[in-house]
Amino acid sequence: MHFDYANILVFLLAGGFFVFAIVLLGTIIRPKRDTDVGLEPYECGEEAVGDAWFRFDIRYYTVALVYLVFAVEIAFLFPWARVLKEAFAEPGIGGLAVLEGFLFVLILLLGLAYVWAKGDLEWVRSFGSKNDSEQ
Amino acid sequence: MIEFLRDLLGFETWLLVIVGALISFLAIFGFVAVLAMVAVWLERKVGGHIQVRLGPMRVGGWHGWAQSIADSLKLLMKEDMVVLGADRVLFKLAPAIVMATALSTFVVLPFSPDLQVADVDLGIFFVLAISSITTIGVVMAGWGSNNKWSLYGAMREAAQVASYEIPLGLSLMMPVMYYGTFSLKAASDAQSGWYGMQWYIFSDAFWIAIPSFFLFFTAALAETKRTPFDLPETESELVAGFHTEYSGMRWAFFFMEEYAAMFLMGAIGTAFWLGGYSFPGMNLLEAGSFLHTVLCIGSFVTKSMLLLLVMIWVRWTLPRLRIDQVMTMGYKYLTPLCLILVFMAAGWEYFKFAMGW
Repeated sequence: MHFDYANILVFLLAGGFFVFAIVLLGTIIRPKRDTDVGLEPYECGEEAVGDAWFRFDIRYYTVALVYLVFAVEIAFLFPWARVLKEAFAEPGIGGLAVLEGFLFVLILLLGLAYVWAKGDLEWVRSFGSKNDSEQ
Repeated sequence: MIEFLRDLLGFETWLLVIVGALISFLAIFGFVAVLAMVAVWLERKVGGHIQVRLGPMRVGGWHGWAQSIADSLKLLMKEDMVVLGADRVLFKLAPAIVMATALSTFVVLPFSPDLQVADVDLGIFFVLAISSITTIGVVMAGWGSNNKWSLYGAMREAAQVASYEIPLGLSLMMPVMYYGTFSLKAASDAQSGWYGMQWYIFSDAFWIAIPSFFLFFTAALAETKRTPFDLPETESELVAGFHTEYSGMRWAFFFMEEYAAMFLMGAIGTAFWLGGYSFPGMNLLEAGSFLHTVLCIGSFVTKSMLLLLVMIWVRWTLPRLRIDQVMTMGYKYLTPLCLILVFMAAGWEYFKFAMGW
C-alpha cells in the first residue's frame, strides 16, 4: 500500500490532539483553585532554591557519543540483516555478505573495547590522581 | 478496509485513507486506554499478592476490578497545575508527544493475519526509530518542570533509554536476519507453520533465539523504564522523577504511555519470538473465518499480556539498580553479548546456506 505512512501521520496528529482534547474536557469538571504554595515546585517539602536550570555534572556525556556511533551502526546493520539470506543466493556476493558484516561489527567491537579500556564507560573516570576522581 | 469504505461512501481515495486511519486510531486508543486500566489493576494486584497483602479489594466488588475506572475518573477531576516558573510550552507539549509516539507504534502490530492498521514496510525499524522520540517527550517534561528532581530524572532517562536502544536494536536483528523481513506480520506469518507452533524459539536457530529473547526482554525493561531500571522515576530518590510536577490527566498520560510501551514490547517479543498470533492447531481452522480471527487476536493479546505480566512480576521481585550499574549493564554486558549473537546468527545462516539446508 502506498498510504501506509498516512496512517502514522494521522496517528501522530490525532494522538497529540486527543491528549489536549481530554485535558480540555477536564477543565469543565475539575476545580481551579491555584494557590501560590500549591504551584511551587515540589522538592521534598523544602523550599526550592533557585530554578532548576543550573549547571551540573552529566557524568555520561561520553556515553552519548558512544551511543551515537552504535545508533548509526544499527541503522546500517539492519538493512544488512534484512537482505542477508537473499544475498547468499546472489552470484558474486554469497559469503562475502557475511564477511563484510563481520568486519563492520568487528571494527565497532574494537571501538567499544577501546572506549572500555580508556575508562570512558566508567561512572567515575579515573585520572590516576585522587582529587580528580572526586569531583 | 479501504475498498470497503470506498464502496460504502464513495469518497476520494485520500479522504478514505484518512477516515480509515481515524477509525483505526479510535480503535487503538480505546484498546490502549482499556489496556492501561487492566495493567494498572494487574500491577497493583500482583504487587499486593507478592507482598502478602491483597491490593485493591473494595471498588466494584470482585477483587476491586473497578479500581482503575474510579482512578481515571478521579484523575480527570483532579486540578491541572502548571508549576510556577515552568516552561509552559514544553510542560504542556510533553504528554502529547509521549502519547502520540506511543500510539503510533501500534500501527505495525499484527493482531491477526488480517487485523493490522498498516503493514508498513519498515516495520520494526520504524518502531525503533519512533520509540526513541518518546525520550524527547520525557526530557521535555523534566526540563520544563522547573524542578531539580525532574531534571535529574529526565537526564537519566536520556542516558538510559538511549543506551539500551543499542542492545534492543541488536537483539531484534536476530529474528530480522532469520526471517529476512522488517515486517512484524511477515515474521508472524512465517511462524504459523507446524500447526501454529513454528515459533522462532522452536526453530533450528533456537540456540540463538532463546538468548536473544532474554537480551531483548532485558533491554525492553530498560526501554520502558521498568523496575530494575526505573532510574528516571525512582520514587525513593527523585520523588517521581520526570513527572514529579505533573498532576491529573497529564500525569495519567505518562502512565498510559508506560503501559502502552510495555504492551508494545511484549507484542514485539511475541511477534518475533513467540509466534505472533499463531496458536496450536491454527491450521485446522479455515483461515479468515470468524473463529480463526478471534482466536488469533486472543492468542496475540494473551501472549503479549503474559510478557507484560512477567514485567510486572520482575518489578515486584528485583531491587532497583544504581544508575552506574544500569549503564555498566547496558554497555559492558548486553551490547557485547548482542554483537556476539549477531556474529553467531549470521554465521549460522551462512552455514545453513553452505550446507544446502
